[in-house]
Amino acid sequence: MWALSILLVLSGLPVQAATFVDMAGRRVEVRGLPRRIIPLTPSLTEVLFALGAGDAVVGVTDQDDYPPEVRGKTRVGGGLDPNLEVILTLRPDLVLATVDSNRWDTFLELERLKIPVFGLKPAGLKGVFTSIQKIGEVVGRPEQAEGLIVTMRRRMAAISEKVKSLSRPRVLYVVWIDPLIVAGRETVIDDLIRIAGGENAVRTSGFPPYGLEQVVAHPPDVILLGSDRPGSEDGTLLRRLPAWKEMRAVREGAVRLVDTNVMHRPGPRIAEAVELLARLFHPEAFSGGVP
Amino acid sequence: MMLVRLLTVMGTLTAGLMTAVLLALWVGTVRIGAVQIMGILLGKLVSIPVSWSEAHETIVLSVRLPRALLAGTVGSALALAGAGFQAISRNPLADPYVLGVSSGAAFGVVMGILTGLGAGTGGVLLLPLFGFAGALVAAVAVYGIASVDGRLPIQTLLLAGVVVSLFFASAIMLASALVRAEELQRVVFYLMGHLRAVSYPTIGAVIGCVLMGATLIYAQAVPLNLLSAGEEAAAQLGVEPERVKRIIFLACSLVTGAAVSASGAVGFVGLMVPHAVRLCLGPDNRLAIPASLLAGAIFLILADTVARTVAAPTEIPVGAVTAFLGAPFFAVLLRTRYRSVYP
Repeated sequence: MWALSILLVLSGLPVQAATFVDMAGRRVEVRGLPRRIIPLTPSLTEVLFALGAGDAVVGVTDQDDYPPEVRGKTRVGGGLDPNLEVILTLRPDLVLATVDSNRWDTFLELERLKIPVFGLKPAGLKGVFTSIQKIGEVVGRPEQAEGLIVTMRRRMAAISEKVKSLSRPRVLYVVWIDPLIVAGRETVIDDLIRIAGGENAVRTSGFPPYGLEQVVAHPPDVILLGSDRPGSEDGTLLRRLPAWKEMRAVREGAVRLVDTNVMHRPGPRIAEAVELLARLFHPEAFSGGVP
Repeated sequence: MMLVRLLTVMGTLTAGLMTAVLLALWVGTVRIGAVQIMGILLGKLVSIPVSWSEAHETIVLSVRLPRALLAGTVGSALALAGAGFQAISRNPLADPYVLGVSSGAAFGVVMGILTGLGAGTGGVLLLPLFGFAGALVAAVAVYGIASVDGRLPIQTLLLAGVVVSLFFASAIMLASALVRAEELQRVVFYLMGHLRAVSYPTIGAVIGCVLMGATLIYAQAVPLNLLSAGEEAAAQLGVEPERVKRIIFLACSLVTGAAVSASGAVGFVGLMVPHAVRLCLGPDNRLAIPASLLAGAIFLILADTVARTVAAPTEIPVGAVTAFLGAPFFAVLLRTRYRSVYP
């Protein structure tokens, strides 16, 4: 209650400009508490909603679909080519964008239009937590950010504890089958696989172009296929492809479709993703459910 | 007589250009009334009893205006390069794309993006130079491969263009295959041919290159006219064919490089606009070159207005629009007017 009254008093004061340093090392000046925010990737939207700042979100990208509340929000176009006219009409006091999934040009364009744009770099698990913390600071919800991070860490630690003594299957995460793109080291997916009790079959970092020969040479125990409609395919695709169909994991049916919207978004739902993976790798450990 | 005709044509095209710019400022994803547009444009000079929001003013002056300027500049550049190449090769099929100069420019720009030298505020101004360097390498290669005994026969010129074009297209593919998915995204986005609301210094850099190129090309208008009657006849009249060719290749590379650096792959403008201009106004380069410059600007501004609005709020690549508008228009002109101009 006292926090609310302080907030009310503060909101009556003249707007103070605060300067934040974003994850791209840029200085970003934000005037007062942002009330009209446009996140330019779905993961940033999910973070804002998880921090309870969903009401301040005035626009989202075409790719946004979570949480369900985003359905009523104005669409600003794709994350790679947001429509500047729509953004300007929404009169945002803060735009959030990532260094990896948005284009640098977008940063320059928004700077030129005098719209504060705060850059995040949710690369790897550490990057996700730092991003959440930074977003919490810039939107004036540092405690909520801290709380969210603690909750996520606890949930992941509980799962990690459950599977730590079990054997670690070698996992190949296929982002795209043709041309073959896989999740390598130093990615969020790599971290998630490790915490869920698996080991990434790929040694190179990032999302490298990968050769089928490399897959055959380091045969995975489990193959995960990213899919945006995990219910609609049956996972038998690989049984029809040459070389793939001869792999042990494919023959033994150790191919699983996973929801890319949960797996690929470096946001609050990665704790969910860890549980999803752990259940795939070690179904026997979850017969009693997660505490 | 010539001067009157030139002034009439240029006056008409300038009026057309103004209309195209006003249309580009008016039409967009966000609806802004025509009265408000006039208010925003004239409000700084005279007081008008019209009100408009600050967001609308920013949209018109900082999003639509720079983009229209860029579209106009890129359109001029591509049409100018097409006019130059068609005149020098005396072949209606020559244009920066057919000759591989655009591919060379695109390769230069992709290298600028991938090496990181073209990033950041200062780097953006360097990209036209990367484009120019790539275009020049391609143009010199075409020139070198195509020239036979110090001459530039049409057959070898076009074949050389195809070879160089394929080579640089493959080089871009190779570079794309070797980079990471995250970087590839930027390259693919660039290659699709987008016009963006870039900053005024960037537009200035491109305009500067285009003006320089335009001056060089226009200065060769009379020699180009003489060359159209054949190199020997022109040489007897004091024209140095090889010198003219070199100047045209250099100038066309410059404008192509600048255009491609700003917009990526936008096809059909260089082929279609100068062609259409010659079909309407005749082959005199003193008229065709400046008319192509203005007509190219008008055409790309209109094409970009369609690209911005047809699937709003999503923008489609302007290259797709130029192809869809350009191909049928070109086909009709070719069927109806070809014989009278290229007997």
